[in-house]
Amino acid sequence: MKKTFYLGLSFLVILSSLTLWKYFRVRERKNLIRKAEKITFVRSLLSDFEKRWTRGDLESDWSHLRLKCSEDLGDFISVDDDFTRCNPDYINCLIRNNVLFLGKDQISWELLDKKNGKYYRPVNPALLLSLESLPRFSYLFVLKYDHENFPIILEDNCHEAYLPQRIYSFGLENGDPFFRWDNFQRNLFIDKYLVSNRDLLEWIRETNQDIKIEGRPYEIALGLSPEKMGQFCQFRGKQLLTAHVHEASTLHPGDYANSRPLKSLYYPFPDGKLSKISKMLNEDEINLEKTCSWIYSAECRDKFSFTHFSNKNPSWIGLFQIMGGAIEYVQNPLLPNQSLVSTSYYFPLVSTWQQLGKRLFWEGQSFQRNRLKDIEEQDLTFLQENFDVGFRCMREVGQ
Amino acid sequence: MIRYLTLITTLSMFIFWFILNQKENELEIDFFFSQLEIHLANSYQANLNEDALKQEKIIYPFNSWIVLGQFSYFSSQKPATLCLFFHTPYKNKKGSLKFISLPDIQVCEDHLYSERKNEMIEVDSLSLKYNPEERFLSFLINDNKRKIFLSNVPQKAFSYKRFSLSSSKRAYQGLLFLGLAAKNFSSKSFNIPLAKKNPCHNVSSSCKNLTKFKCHLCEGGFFSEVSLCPQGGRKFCGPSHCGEKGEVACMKGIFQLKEKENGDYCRLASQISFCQQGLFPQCNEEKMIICEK
Repeated sequence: MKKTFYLGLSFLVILSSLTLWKYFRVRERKNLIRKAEKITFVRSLLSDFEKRWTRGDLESDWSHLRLKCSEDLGDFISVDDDFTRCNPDYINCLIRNNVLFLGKDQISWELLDKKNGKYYRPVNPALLLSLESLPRFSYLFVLKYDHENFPIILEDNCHEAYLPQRIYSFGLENGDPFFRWDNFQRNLFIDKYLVSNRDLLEWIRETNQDIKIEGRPYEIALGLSPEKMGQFCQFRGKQLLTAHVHEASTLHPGDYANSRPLKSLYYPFPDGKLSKISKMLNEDEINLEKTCSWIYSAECRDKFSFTHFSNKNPSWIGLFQIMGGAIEYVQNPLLPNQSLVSTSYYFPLVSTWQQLGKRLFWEGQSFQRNRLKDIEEQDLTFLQENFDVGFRCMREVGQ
Repeated sequence: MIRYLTLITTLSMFIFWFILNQKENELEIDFFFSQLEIHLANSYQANLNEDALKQEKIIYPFNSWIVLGQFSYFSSQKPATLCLFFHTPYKNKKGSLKFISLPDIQVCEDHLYSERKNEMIEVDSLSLKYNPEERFLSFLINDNKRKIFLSNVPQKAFSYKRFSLSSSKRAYQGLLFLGLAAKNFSSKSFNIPLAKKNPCHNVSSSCKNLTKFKCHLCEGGFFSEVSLCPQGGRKFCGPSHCGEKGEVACMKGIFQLKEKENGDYCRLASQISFCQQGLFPQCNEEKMIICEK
């Protein structure tokens, strides 16, 4: 009797253990299925998130003060939409104002940089994920949902232009180019806009630079030494823009379809023969407001405000801020002293220095008037003692 | 009394066991695909079996294991491989769908018969379709439809042209979804400095890769020597000083070359490269085109 009882009890214990094991197994499976459901839910939000990232402030919420973004983007004064596109600080503002994924209260974001109140960190995904094919510079956001973390990496694909593979010319000497070159088998991407204060502030934060920034985040970053400009570009996984690539991306190449032209022509304005600018300049009475929106020249400074991130007057590949505005520094591997692209608000509209492909001879060290050579004194009428110099970067992408 | 209690408890346990078993069977397909979903949520590369995709129901080759797909994904911030296998049904024998996950990038064919821990379900019939535009991998198992979204997988074979975006053509442009990650997933420091003298990508003069590309580890980018190789020449960490005295020459291009030239490009130095005014491109003892007087 006792034996049967103990046998039964042993059987019951074994069965209970098995049932318990089965119970936990089923629970574990349910938990895993729940995890997959969370992934599906979060992914359903990504389409909207991507639109916010790539389209920026299309509704002009920031400019119309419907969104308080001063802390992230600065006070709005004359800046085009492109500034908010692929801009992590715009997303930061949306998160801060709790307007991203409206109605989805269970979603939150991790404050990754507590000191600066940023919900993002710049990362090198290629290094982070040990994968060479990923971009070298992106932004990490971490979305939180139901006790799970979902890292999302956002890449800036709004502010670079591709330089088509073809033959280009470089420089002008008695009407002929210094030499012709090509970028066949090479994929070059160039910054569409000059580096902004926002970009610089981020670099200063991440690399503890002892540099003070004046001006609003969307304004052009000015006054950096060429060495520091190069360091900034390296931080972004890029190189400083070179003079021959600058010319290739701003001077109109003539026939788009023919990538191997026998001869290169020189056009002083962005869209070649049909230039709206040359038409504007040839009109009997120049419409200054219209012209200044294309080339912010010396005449414009007292009359009209400068539009930041202006998407007017693009080059043939879509580079902006190529004429007027601040002087642009380029690294010139052929003639190192010819490194300042002259077109700027320091020259009048009709000056030949206002044309594309013209560079000032600069002795280096500081951006002071007396460092410029080979220029007539009369051409320097509008140049201040210290002049403004911006820059942009470029990078080569694998085949 | 105790006897009855034991009997009732045993009976209840049996019923409970039976219910749990039923539940587990019901969850089998959901569980399998949930695991697949979790693994593939951040997959960034997919190589699918074109022959299997063409079949209405996958039955060929009969009674054999085949690789349905090989996927690269991130596991603990490192690349990993997921292999999806299928054993085709034959006569009364059901088909089997299973996957295994492997560390690093591996070839799935090598693991077709491996005894590794894997997940497997038996199926009467299976159909697999892939929509490369929408990045949906659709399964029809028996009569159950299941979809896996491969949002990070880029569009195959595209070439850059004017106005091209710089990012790969993924389902969400410029967005990389990393799926579920450990709580300590953080942005670690930017770059690991590599020795400056050693190339981060060593390429021979006959265009063979002598080392793996490691330039993504460079502190502040990298530059390449002048080369006619499609993958570029030797690459080094650091900023480019091309054209300066003693530095690598700048690439002028290949348009002046009459025919495709490989190997000894030293004699072509002035055609394919340029230096600062007053310097001339010439090969040094390492057969690298540098700028000297």
